[in-house]
Amino acid sequence: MKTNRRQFIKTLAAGSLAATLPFAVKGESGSHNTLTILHTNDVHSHLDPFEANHPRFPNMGGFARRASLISKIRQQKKHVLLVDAGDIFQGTPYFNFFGGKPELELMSKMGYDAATIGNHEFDNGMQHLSDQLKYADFPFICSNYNFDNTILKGKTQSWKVIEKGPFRIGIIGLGINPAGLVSPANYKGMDWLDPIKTAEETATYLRNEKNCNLIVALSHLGINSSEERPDSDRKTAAESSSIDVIIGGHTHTFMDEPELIKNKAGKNVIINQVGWGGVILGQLDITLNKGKSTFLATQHIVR
Amino acid sequence: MRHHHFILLLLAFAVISCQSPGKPTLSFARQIPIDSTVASDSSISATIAPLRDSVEAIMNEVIGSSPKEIFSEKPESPLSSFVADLLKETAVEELNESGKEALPVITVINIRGLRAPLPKGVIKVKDIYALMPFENQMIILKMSGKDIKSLYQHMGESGGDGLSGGSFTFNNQSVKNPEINNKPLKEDAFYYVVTSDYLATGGDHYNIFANAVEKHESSNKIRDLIIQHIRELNAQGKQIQTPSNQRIKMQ
Repeated sequence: MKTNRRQFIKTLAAGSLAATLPFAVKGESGSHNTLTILHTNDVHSHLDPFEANHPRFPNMGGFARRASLISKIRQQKKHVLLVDAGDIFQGTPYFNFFGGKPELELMSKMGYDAATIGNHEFDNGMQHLSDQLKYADFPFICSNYNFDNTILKGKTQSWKVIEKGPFRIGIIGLGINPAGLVSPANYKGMDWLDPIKTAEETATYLRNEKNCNLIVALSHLGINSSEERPDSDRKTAAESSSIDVIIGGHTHTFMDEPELIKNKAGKNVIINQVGWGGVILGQLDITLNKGKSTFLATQHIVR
Repeated sequence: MRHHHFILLLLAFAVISCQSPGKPTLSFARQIPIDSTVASDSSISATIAPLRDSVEAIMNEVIGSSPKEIFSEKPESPLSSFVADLLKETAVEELNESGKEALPVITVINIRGLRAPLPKGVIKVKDIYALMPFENQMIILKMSGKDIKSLYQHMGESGGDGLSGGSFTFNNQSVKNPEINNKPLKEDAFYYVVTSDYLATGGDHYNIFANAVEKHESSNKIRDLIIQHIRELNAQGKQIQTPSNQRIKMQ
């Protein structure tokens, strides 16, 4: 727990990025009943740390640091699920020169379990995306992008069940409406399905038919609804009944802490998103609880 | 005695219902900053190093300079006007060389596609990659004046965008005084509109471009044209000068 404490203090010291943790540290994170979800979103080809004179993230981020942080956490935790919520591509010249190959190869090396497709994955067209996907040895989960009439047919999965210890995790992927965001030529033939309806159907199927005890949505919808883009993580959470966790992206939102939203069955859905550029790694420890809930709403406990 | 048994039974029932099938709860959460105190994985660093060397050799080339930081923001800005103007200039040259009919030319670019300001001082290739990371190509469309009025209407409704060669006032959600080359727009005349392939195919809801009657695809990437233009200015001993004339008046 020494590392946790050090990380915690460091987190507080990080100014505007600081996370105040309203969650009880129960000391059972390494236990068999706990799954540690590590997550990124909108890394946008930032293989290297930001430059030392960057106004917002001086000398922060970088794949090499992320990899070592992840390995360290893997040594401490029994069950780790590592996921990304899209927009892996576009944002540094690495993408212009290497087309996303190093991003996907290095994420494979870090042991990513799954990712979803963000709008910028379409930037150089579907043929390009299809060519790059072979460098990922983890699946891309897209529940509401139907690629059957495109070159990407069979190259993504609409859901996936991943087992980690006592966890049977159903993963779904929610893609943003590409209209007005992606050049229509770059997603021609793709059928965009209602994300909230698809999420509910897929999550319920995974829970009831595939016996999943944890449903994780990788979402590139964005945290909040707007007039132009009514579908969002908050809306998905509120209108669903089977999703437990939403790992978000697209809006580049630096959340101080995960948010809990009551779903239509009155249960909490956990939403988290970690800004962009790979400057933060999100960690959510999910415990399969046999007794009372260990979630304590507002206690700050530093151990 | 019987009474006590009943209470025990109730208690047992309550305990069982609490233990009902493993409900997942959040037991701990943190947002971990990846800063310089996090060690680097040496094998990942070794993979990235040669990629960085090859990219940096290209990115660090100095191509020109700017007397001030140049921003891009809606409804229009020095940076969007600068980029729109240089595209228009290039397109006019291309059109002259191709021997196509001589028509007035305007350029429309999306401000959201200009991703970073140009810094004050030396400008390197990497600054242009930050400004224009996309592989967008220049496209020239032939359109009617009527469609250009709709184009202006969309630009106004979306809060303005980069424009060169034309101007209009957006008042009460409608286009007033639409002009091209300082002359009133004629709805029954034809014009050339220079833009990116992204907008030409309906990006940012520019669906009106689907009405184009002719399409001329340039092999030039917009980023390369910006780099080339700044290099040429530098060769002439000039810094980047941003246009100051207003093209879109939002009222």
